[in-house]
Amino acid sequence: MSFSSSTLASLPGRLRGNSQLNALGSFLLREPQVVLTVALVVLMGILNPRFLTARNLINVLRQSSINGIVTVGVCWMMISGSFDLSVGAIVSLISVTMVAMLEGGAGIATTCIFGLAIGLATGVFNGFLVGRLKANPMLTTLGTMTIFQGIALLSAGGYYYRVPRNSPFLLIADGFIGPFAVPTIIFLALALVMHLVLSETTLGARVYAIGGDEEAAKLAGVRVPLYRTLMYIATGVCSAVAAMVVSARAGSGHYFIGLNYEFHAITASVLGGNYIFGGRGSVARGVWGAILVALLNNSLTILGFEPATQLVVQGVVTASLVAIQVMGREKKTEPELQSQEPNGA
Amino acid sequence: MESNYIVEMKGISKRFGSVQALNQVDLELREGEILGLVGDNAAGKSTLMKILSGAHVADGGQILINGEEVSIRDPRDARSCGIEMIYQDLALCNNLDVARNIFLGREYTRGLPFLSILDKKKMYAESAELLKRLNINISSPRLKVERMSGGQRQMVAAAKAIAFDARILLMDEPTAALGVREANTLLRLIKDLRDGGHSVILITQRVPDILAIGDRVMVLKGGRRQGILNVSEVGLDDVVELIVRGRAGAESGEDALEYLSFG
Repeated sequence: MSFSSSTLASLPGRLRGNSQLNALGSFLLREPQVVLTVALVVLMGILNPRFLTARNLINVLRQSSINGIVTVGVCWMMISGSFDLSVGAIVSLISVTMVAMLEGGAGIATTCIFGLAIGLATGVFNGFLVGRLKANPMLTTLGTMTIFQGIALLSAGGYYYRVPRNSPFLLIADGFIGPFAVPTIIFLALALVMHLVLSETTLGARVYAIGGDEEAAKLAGVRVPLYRTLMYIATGVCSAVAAMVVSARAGSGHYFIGLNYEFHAITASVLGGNYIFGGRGSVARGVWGAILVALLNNSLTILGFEPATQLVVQGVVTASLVAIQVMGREKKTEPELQSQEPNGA
Repeated sequence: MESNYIVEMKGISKRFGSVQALNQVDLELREGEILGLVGDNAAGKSTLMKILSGAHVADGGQILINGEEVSIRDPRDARSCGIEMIYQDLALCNNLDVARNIFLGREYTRGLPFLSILDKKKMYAESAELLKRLNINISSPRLKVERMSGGQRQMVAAAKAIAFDARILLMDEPTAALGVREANTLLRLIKDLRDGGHSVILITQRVPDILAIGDRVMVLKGGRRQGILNVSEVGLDDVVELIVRGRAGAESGEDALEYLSFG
């Protein structure tokens, strides 16, 4: 990351005479999650010796994994400059369907493939509406969220389906490979693949371009509807994977199991430092954000706060961090535009 | 069909709502020439070029490349016909760096055919060389476009169009945002491109630019073609008269004089 002198000059309450301090301040203003992460780790390390144990940190990773899996898909979506509010409903729909199939005696492989197929289909459906028909992504996926949620409720009729006792399907949540839980491994492996695809392939190059300037991308010959659809397929398929893990963890499937997942995933993506209007960011940042959310909740639990308080704290932290990020970015972009001429000379 | 035109547009019409932007316009571009496209605001210059570049689709008319009819429905079609356009608003992604903009939509790749892994090294190396070859004052292809001046952006847009050796280059007021020195550099570049065998259509408000480097100049007015003149046979007055009064002509020369004073 580089800093121009103009960036530094624009720091609010500028610390005169110490440019390194200014640079640091400017950086922290743009990346407030660094402060939060460091503060959390240091503070909790002092307050509670249990916090910094490998056991607890591995546990945090595990707690972050379901939200993390959804977040990874939402990161792609966010970088492409679009939204998918239907991910939570997709998780519910797939959870109900898969567990109903398992209860009915279907094989695990068949069930999982069917779950992924539904994720793919919801993605194609959303992608068709937003990519092809150019419908507003917020309103469209708010609508499809209701559709998917409704179908889940219709097919479940409000009942819980139960994963058969001793089904190997439960290992998706309960299994361990070495010290790590299977959900953690699924989360990190998926994140790694999706991070590399975004940073190393033509798909990634075009997604960043679309997120930056859709019209310019189109004029450069990028098939925007295709890539928009692919983004919705990505969120759909990630939601399907999350549905597998959460169903196995709960041992059941029900129509509101994915409630608020879209909110948690967008929160994690933004907390990690992804720009909510697209064009910049990475999957790795989303992973950081998802872990940070889990870290925060874990700290509050250790300190003895109730879940309701945790929600409030999580909301306050998210809102503040987003506000700081926006401030940091505005300070960052304005002076650069002004400083162009001297650079050209 | 026998033809020495690299591009022919025949009877092109385009309507935006109630506005008839283009009305049965013909255009012929010879191989290896610079054709100026001039006219007042709203004469239809940009619309005509955007139809050729695939940004707009014409309501009617034909496009022929090397005498063969082609269908240009989007920018990809135009590109496959060897057409590149530099848009007036430059059409760059500000969040990306120079190399990523130049190669957007046609990145170099390596590896498996179904998994297109970017060959970043090659793209940055070629971008750096392109900047050097075109004498563009940008220190690194890794610089983000949002950090650049208007002139630098203009040159990146030019580099992006030239990078793939398109035979037909369309430029929409490329010198408008430039200072005198930068504009001259770009005009020289356009001339070099012509001498290198490229065919260029140059939209401009600065008629003297066309008279300096162009071969022919075509005048549009109110969405209709007023004529194509050979630059060697005409002066500024002739072109301006056609821009202002059109083919039909008028009694008084006052309007033309007024325009000249703005020139």
